[in-house]
Amino acid sequence: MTESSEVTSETATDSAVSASEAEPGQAMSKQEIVEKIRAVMVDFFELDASEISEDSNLVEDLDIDSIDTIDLMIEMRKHLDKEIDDMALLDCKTIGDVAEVISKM
Amino acid sequence: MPTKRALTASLPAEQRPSLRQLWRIAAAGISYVLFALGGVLPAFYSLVLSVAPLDPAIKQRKLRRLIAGLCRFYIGLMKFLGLFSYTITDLPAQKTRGHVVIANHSMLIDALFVLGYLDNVCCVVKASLATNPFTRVPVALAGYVTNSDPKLLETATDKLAAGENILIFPEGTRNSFDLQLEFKRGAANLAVIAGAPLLPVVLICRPRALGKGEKWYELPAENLRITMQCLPAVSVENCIDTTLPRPLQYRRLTTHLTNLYRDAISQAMSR
Repeated sequence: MTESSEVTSETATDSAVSASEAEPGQAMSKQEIVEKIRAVMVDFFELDASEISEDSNLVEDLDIDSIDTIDLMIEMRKHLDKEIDDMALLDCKTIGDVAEVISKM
Repeated sequence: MPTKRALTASLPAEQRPSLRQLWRIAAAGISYVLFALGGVLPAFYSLVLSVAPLDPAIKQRKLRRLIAGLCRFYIGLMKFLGLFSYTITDLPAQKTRGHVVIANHSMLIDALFVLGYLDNVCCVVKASLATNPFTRVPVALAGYVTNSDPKLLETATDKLAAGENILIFPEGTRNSFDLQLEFKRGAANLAVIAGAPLLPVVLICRPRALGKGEKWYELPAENLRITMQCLPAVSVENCIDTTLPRPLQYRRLTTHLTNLYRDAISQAMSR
């Protein structure tokens, strides 16, 4: 990992942590979940945070396959401390879709 | 039967194939016809085995041995017919168990070499072969897994743990040039998740033939020389940091394997 991507990674994680800490005990908004997903993806998939937006297509834009999605979900479960149904996520096309599904669980 | 002159009269002199070339095309045709006909043998053997009072694991081993024998027969036949010469080097001294066997994929007959010369190899086959009336029973009895199986990874992991070897062509399809090597992550996914070693097999055909988009009869005028070389087995923990998150391990291992093949093929091509 390059120095600049490490900096980006820390920034993304910090941003996600502050987003989740902004409203302790409350359900996270879709935008906060997107931030969480972005932080995990930066760390897990060596992506640049700037590449990841709500509209990013998982497969075409980010090269995330079904195995990656499962690993992403395992990690998201730890971060969000909630059950996430892997199967419901397999049909998701974009980051926004994933955040939408998680926010409804 | 039309003469060579009749077959080639409409072509300019410099484009007319030699008699040797015409023979090679005919030999390729004979090989493919025999290959298709020979496919009946595993199907028939499968039917016999399916009613035999044997353990399914024994049936699987018997059928895989037959398939391996058939593969070696076809390789020998094509050599006999003058289609190619071949060299196989560095085969593992002992029977390989529980390895993810990977191979670069430049020509149509790559799988024949791997299935013919490595022991107890399980293929990941196209879903259509599991429903085709001629191949359905052999595919099932040989214990091959289909690429559409939603539990492919779990099934393959169980097979590796049981000592079977799983063959994966990381490129997914035949490449267009030898150093293209656009590896997908499937082999790395499996090796990381199963904690299984990989056995890299390098296959090279000089001059290139039977590649992606090429017809079976489009053979170069020169004799083909095929080499199959087994590289030393790769253990995941020796080439990547296994404390990293798994998605990073998949990516690092895929890059490592791509570089391994790039070096091996470059070296082989410079010889």
